[in-house]
Amino acid sequence: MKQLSLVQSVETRWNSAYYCLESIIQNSGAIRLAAVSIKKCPTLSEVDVEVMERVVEVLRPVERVSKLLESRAEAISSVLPAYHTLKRCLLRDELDGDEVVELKEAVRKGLDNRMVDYVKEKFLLLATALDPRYKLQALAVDDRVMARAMLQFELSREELPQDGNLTSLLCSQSSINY
Amino acid sequence: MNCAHTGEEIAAAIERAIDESGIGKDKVHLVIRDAASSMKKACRLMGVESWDCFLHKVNLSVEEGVRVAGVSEAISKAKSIAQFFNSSSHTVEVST
Repeated sequence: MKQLSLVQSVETRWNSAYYCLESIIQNSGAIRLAAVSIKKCPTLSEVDVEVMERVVEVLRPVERVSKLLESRAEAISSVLPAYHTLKRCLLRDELDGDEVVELKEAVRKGLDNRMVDYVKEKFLLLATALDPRYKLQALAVDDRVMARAMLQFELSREELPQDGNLTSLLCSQSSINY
Repeated sequence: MNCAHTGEEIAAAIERAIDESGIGKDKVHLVIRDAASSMKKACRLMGVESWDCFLHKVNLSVEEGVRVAGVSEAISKAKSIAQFFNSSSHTVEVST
């Protein structure tokens, strides 16, 4: 039998609860065996494990996205793509059990409430639109129009050379840099 | 910081840090902070753009989510099992 340790959940971060659930699921066979021979061992029913599996499945994308975004090498351009990806993952599925429906809805609502008016934060839209990994396609359809308008405005604020040609502007800037 | 964490004091401390590091305020485009009102105020006072940490928002939202019925019970159960096996007094040798 593979030796795995059980991960303790601590209050401060939800992902410790996530890793705890994961480790219980992985060890469920051993835990159930142990419960037979150890008197005080808490019981773990098959239904318990099924619920845990469903919860872990909902939280998995959230955990993955958090892991990716917490990297120092990540940029703010990833925020909107991450937000929209998470929202898609949290959409209701017909096969979802009651607890999963509620869990998804609570997380989605929490996120939406906290992201209200994100369109007004021009750095979010601009960063995503200008990142070659994402560009406009990564934005919600309504946001693309907004991002384009913001970009055009930002460009018009730059002092353009006499001929108003963007290429020559970029060339003149790069010659300064190098 | 050896003073009250008011918006004014935080702003002063951040400005000092920016000065001492030689970065210069003109190079600060955006400050990522939590959603605490004192932090919002500090950024406003400094005259820099700021926004809430996205992962902090995610973290708070999930914490609300895992409190719903059914989910919180599953988590408490998992916790109690992990606690049981991690406390050494119950550890037993099982030969396989």
